Amino acid sequence: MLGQGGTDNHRIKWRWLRYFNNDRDRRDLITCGSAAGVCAAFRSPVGGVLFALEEVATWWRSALLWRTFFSTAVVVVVLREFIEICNSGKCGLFGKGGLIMFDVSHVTYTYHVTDIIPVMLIGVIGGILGSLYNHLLHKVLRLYNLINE
Amino acid sequence: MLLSLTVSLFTSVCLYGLPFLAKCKPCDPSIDEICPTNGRSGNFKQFHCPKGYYNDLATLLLTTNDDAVRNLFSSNTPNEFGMGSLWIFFVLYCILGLFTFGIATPSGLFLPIILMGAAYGRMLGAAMGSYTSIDQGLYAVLGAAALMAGSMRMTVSLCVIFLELTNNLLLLPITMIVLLIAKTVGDSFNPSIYDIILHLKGLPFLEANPEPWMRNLTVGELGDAKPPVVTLQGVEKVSNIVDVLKNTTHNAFPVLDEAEVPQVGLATGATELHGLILRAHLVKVLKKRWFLTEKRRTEEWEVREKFPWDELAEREDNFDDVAITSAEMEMYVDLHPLTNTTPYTVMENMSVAKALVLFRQVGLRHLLIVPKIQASGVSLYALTLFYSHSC
Repeated sequence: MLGQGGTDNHRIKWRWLRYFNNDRDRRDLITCGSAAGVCAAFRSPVGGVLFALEEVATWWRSALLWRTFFSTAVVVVVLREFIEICNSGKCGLFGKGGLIMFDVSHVTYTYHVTDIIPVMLIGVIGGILGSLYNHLLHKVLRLYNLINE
Repeated sequence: MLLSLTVSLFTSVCLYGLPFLAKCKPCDPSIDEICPTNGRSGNFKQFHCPKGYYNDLATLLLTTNDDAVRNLFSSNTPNEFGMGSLWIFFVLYCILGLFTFGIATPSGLFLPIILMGAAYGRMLGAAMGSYTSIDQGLYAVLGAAALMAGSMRMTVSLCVIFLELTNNLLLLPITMIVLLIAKTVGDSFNPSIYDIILHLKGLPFLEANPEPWMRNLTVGELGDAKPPVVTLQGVEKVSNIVDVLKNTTHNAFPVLDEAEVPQVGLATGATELHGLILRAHLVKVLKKRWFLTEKRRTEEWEVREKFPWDELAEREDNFDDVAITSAEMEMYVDLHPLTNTTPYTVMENMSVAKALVLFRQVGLRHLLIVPKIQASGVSLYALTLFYSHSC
């Protein structure tokens, strides 16, 4: 399969990549990429897979499940390696652990049953603010479209 | 370009200038962290304050975003940030997030919304301080979750993301409550942020569910309303192909054949639907100059060595650089071997709703509508792509 490409490195790579040059593989790669990105941002492999399932993929196949999971697993391993480097203080501008976006795992919270009402209030106001943000973003993007034209 | 420059200048001015508005706060001796810091990272930025004091707004603004999130999420620090600073931070990030998203830079949605949500949660926590015993950091986490669910409308994935972020299984139930409430409230106002962007970019996206009116309309009626489809002959003249490619934007063309021997029960002038040919393949033919001097059908081996499968998988439709001489214009191309002979077809009296489900579920690009009664001079429509603008 690879052998017919000749010895030139670039050519081998190109001939190999053409097997992915179809719509289905392109779609799958995009799905895997988005899962890996979310996973890298939040250091959450399962969250990345679920993000791809919930928001990105229009056609979900069961084969995509393990593929996205594999890509997020690779991301987590790589991230772990980089965190090791950061912890030894070679991260430059980001100080310690800057590569992981959020590391709040050492924080512990507690709550009681009576706190449900304020929690619901957070949800309601958050929903209103979120849709307000969407509304404003819609307006701003429309404005940008007008400017660019 | 000018827009990006303006936005970045505005951002820098805001980030540096606004901390002057905040008052200096004394360091809390009960927290065993270095209090006024001037270095790259650290929880309490000194900024222009005297020794032993810190500026809470500078702490949030003049740091990396993830440090800001960490600061906002931190527990047991109920008075670290003043109400005024949080308010400024919230409004600033709202404005910056809105204006930065549209400019030509790879900028995210997640981080601004998390930061805004965390600030909003802390503000709410400070406002309700005496009523509950929830930690301010927990308010910040829940606020971030609520704002994200309110604008992105994700539930399960956000829940798991926050679970993995906070590493606290006990938070799962209340995060779920917050997310579901925020999503429900948000859904009653407008669609999710991704739908809005999809719509604004003008990307053709087909909604999964047909609208109610589609049940009362047949695809034949829909096809009548559209401009008629352009068809090609099985063995077509080059000049016709070039003409069709230049004058239409269709991405596929049905290929018709004159029925050589009329079958029993058919009118003599009847045509046969051979299949569907893609625009990219026609361009390929022109580029390879696969022209025949006489009008004839080709053998399979001729095509196979000329068009390898991986070249047919490419999608290019620009043939401006192909110069075709007038002699070549008079030649013929046999389209039969390059045609998809079994395209998806539906009867013209099928309802639009049904066709839409087929179109969407199979992921079709083209759907041929064939008439129910074969008359001479076939009327044929190609339903290329439904656009639905439902926003």
